[in-house]
Amino acid sequence: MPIMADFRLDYFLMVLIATTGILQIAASQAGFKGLSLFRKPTIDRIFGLLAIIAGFWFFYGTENRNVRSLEGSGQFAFYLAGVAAAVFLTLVVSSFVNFGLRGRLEREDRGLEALKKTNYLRALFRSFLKREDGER
Amino acid sequence: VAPDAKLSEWITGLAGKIPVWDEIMSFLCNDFFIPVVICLILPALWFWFSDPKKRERYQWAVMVTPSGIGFSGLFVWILNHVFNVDPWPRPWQALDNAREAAELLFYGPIDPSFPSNPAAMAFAAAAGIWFVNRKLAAFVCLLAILWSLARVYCGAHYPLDIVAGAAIGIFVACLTRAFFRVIAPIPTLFLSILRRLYLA
Repeated sequence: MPIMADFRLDYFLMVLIATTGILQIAASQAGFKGLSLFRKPTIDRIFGLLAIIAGFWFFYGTENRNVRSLEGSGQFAFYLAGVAAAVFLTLVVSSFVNFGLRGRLEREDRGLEALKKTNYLRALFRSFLKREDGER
Repeated sequence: VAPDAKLSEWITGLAGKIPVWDEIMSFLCNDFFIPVVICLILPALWFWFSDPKKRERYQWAVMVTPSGIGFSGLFVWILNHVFNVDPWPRPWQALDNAREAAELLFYGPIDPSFPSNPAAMAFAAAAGIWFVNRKLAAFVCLLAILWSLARVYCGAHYPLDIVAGAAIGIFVACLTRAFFRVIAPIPTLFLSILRRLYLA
């Protein structure tokens, strides 16, 4: 079933690319510097918008998509996979891009709040090290 | 044949007359375009707000809304497959105009026509978002209406299928919200785990 496999892959990639775009727009909107791929929020938003357009263009511009293909459950599963991959990719890439972002985290900087001051992997490692210190 | 078959016959009879309109309808009735647009709103809402309290309220909505979408799909599936509710064939299987419209603009779906699964899921999404942001919900509702209209135009559903699907979607979304209030400690725990992982 190579055609179906291509269809699934294309759908997955569309969701991945478009979600990466929407995450960048949301990150710049909320001020999560640790999640942004660019320093300037305007560039982040332009990149996000272009990624969304590119995702849909890639899926719809290449083939006729009005064909019997994925059922509802399959569609949902591939959508979830695409979103999870986009979140993972954004967290990893933004952590490397913002490697130098190392703001001091206060007690109230819990959860996503921390990503306004530092990058994701640094926040995660810091909380892990803190827990290790606490255990000692 | 559905009671509103004449209306469906008339609507699908419009297909093939204005090429630009046909292109738009063919694009809108696609199985993926509008659902993906609606679903892209959810990850955006998860991260959108700078204020932690407001963000938490929206993150609750982001948990409730896809659950409502899933439950409404399940509700339709149970109606069709457990209670065997399948009162009439798809318009393209029963009406000449609808068959031509489906061949020209879409394809012939073979699962049960009543109630419309896409309408149930799209209106469930609109109802889920309605509880936190009415303007955004109105936009999602507009997308749901466009998707539904396009599916009637392309011979995939009767208008009655759409009305029933929309009613189910809205009803199940309200039930889902009530259910989440009952099981509130579980999503609260889930959110606190995500917060520890810097994801909420």
